[in-house]
Amino acid sequence: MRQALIPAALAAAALISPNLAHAIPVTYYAKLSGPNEAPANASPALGYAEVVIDVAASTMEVIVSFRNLVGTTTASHIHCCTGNAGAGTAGVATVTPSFTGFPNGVSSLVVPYDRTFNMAVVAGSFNTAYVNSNGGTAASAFTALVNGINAGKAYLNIHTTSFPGGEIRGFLAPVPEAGTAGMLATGLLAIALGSRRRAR
Amino acid sequence: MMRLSAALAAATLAWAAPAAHAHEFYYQVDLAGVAGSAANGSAQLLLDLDLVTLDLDANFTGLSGPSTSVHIHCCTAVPFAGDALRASAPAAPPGFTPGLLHGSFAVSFDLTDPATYDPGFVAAHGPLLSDALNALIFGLADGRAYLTIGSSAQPAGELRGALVPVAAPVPEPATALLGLAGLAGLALAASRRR
Repeated sequence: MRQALIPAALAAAALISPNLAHAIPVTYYAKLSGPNEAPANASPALGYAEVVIDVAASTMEVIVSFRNLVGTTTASHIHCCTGNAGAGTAGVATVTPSFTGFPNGVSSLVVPYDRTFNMAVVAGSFNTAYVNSNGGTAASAFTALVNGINAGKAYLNIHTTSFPGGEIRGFLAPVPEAGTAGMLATGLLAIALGSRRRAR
Repeated sequence: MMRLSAALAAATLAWAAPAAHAHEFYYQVDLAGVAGSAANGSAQLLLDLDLVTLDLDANFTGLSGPSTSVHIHCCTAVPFAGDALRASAPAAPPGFTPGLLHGSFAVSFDLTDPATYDPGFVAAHGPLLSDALNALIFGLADGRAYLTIGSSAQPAGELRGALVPVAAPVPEPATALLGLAGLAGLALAASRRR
């Protein structure tokens, strides 16, 4: 059993190490709902947002799905940064009037919206006003946005005809990837086993 | 249902108007004195649906008594006519300057804050604060909201004016005056050089 673990551990270590050398894209997640809004509303809709940020590549992938909106969609953005984590409102950080290609006029979106933005450029990725108030360049604005997301001060909001101020939203929070965590655990276990063997 | 679809249509129209800032809506108000008052003034409002705030910039003159309050009312049965409930709280938001016969003030209503609303307005449109917010947003888009400025002589409102949706911000008189002053200065400098 122990012998079988060693190759597995080596394989796991080989998988992890290239990622450690470079920046690992970080995945953030938000559950979107009416009670999360400011002010809270009673919309029965639910949505999910996943934002994958690769700082080294200056990219941000936005994946959004939702269903049962009372109104139909008019816009969606990431807002940043609220005064306190997880509460209040903030201006739009991402491209206006809405995420490029985000479907308007729908109340459900089963096949998720999925788009990767090039955060090294302002046009098509950022709200110009946000860039101007955060250092004036795409790089400085991206840094400010990532810091805001990490601080829990950024939310993804979906505006609809029934709730122009926002029908569902959720604050973005990092999620440890199950796969990575599992591989890491396997690797650590193998190291522990290996050192025990050597000590004997 | 008719009301809702009308509101939605109006909201859609309002959405369509300003393309650059899809979530900012502007309103212009001509303030006139109620019966027996010679007061007048003007105001500009900005509804920001991202920050969920309503910013108000008002100028006025000729009040018969010192200013005491400022209120938003909503929603009249038909656009630009009739009376409606007071939507904003009895107390003016931070930034309001009481005690003026003429002058100006700039205030910001935080529409996410329960303290911004008149309890009667929330009761009429609620129960949730977001219901009251939506009623106000759609009322504004429909031209069914108005602004009042109260004075010690007319506490319920000596100045009144409807919030008229406008496509773009109207230059403020002060800004226009600055521009004129700048032009005059240039002209003066030019004539001096000659």
